[in-house]
Amino acid sequence: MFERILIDSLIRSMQVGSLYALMALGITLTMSVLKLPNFAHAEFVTVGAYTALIVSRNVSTNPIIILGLSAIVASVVALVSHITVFRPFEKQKSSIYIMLLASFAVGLIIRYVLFLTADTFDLFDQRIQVPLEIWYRTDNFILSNVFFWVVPTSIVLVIALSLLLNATPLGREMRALADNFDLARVIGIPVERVKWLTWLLVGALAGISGALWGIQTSVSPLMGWVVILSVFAAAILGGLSSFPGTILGAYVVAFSENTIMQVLNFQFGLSFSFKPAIPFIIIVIVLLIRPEGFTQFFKSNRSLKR
Amino acid sequence: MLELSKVSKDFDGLRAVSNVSLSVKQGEIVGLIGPNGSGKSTLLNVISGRFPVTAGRITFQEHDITPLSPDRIFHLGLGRGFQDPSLFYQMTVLDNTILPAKAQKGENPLFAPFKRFWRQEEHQLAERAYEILTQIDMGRLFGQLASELSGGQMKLLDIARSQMGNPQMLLLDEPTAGVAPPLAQSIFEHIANLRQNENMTFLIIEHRLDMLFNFVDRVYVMHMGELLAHDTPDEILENAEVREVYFGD
Repeated sequence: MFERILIDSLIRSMQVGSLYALMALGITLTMSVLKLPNFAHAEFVTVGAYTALIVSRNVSTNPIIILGLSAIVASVVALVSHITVFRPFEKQKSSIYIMLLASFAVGLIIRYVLFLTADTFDLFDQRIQVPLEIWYRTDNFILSNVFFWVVPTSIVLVIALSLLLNATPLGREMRALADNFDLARVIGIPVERVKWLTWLLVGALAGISGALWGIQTSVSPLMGWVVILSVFAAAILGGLSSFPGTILGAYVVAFSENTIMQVLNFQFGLSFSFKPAIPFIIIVIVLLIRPEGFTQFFKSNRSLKR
Repeated sequence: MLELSKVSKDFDGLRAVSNVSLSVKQGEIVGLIGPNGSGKSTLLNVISGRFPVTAGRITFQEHDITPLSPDRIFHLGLGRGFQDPSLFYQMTVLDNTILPAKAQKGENPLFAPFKRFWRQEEHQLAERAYEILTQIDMGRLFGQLASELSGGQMKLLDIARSQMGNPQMLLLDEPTAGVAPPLAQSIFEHIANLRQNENMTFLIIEHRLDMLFNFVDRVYVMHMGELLAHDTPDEILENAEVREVYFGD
């Protein structure tokens, strides 16, 4: 019995951790290249999930099409919020606190637009219409097709993103913006164009992770907001600058929310309502011991920032 | 080549640069000197587009660059170096050198994922960067992080990077500040070589007058945001007004 719960929760940790990694990388990217702690990222995720839901009902149940359209819609939403909200604030040289509040405002606006839409078309807590198949079954656990979409897709996207950043001229420009924004401007890097591309990329990442999250659970206007704190926790564990650190952070948070929670529940009868608290306890402990997060584990010339 | 007419710059009502007119001709090395706080660096920042002008007009090769953003000015062929070597410290020497190169295919999001579109261009750029780095004896350091270099090497890298954009003119802010004398000499020799071999033009802020005066054609002197004098190095040394504000005698 215990073994079964353990394996089941480990699979869930893998699945959730991969998605956290995908979302947290978006946050790390906005934080380092665009210098913005973007809480509206939660709503980009929700937008992706709703796009996936609507596409799966009206257009196609092909996961590639669903993910592609979610990526496009969410990246457009991200770019529009940059042009209409964040860029005007940047032009006024607003402080990071104002930018943070602005990101909350953008998130709220999108969230309640989604609430209104969901209310009009009755789209609360709906499942994305993707056929569920059992691909692998033993006495102890079941692997469905969802697992095989979520985990490999996330891993492939994470690798593709790292390659884009570290092995292409475009990525070099993005790293330059992360390293020294003013200098990047002066030496002739088209910073505004690179920012637009970063926003599109971040939006696409959020959209895809939202669609995958929706396939895994169900879609509601609050889904992004519910996970964003865990995702920020993962990004903070990664030091808000290092990619490998962020990925490790995502799996640590997911593992503690699922496997450690399960074990505590099974052994000590701890109520599942403590689940959201566990990652934060771990963060507090990690940051007390290592204030720089996991960045030091991956000290190489590939991190985005000092 | 570079023409400033009656350029002024205010910061919150404080006049940092006042009514400055100067001109630099193709192939010249011109010095810009003055006591600390006389507005030299501000003037350089105004020319390179980092600070918008309050009044006046700047033209570079017949283009009015007064309203342009720094990257546009850079792409017109007017590069600049910095007083505190300003580098991408978490990137390699090679990355630092390549970054200012003019727009490449691999920076276009449609082409970036496909290496065959930009491999050749990237190779050429890397070779050119390596060549420039070799000129300043830093060829073998190409894979090192910029933050691991010595102060003098950082200065050299700063100049190497400005070269990479193939500028026709460079604005340099104290290229030898904090550098040991022999290296300072070689930095100025490098500048003189660039003028001779690539017909580059320079406007240089420098406090090491003994060094500077061996290499410049003309000198502008700034004091309290205004242009105080303008002459050849020998005449400047004789100028009583300049001696008073600069050397205190």
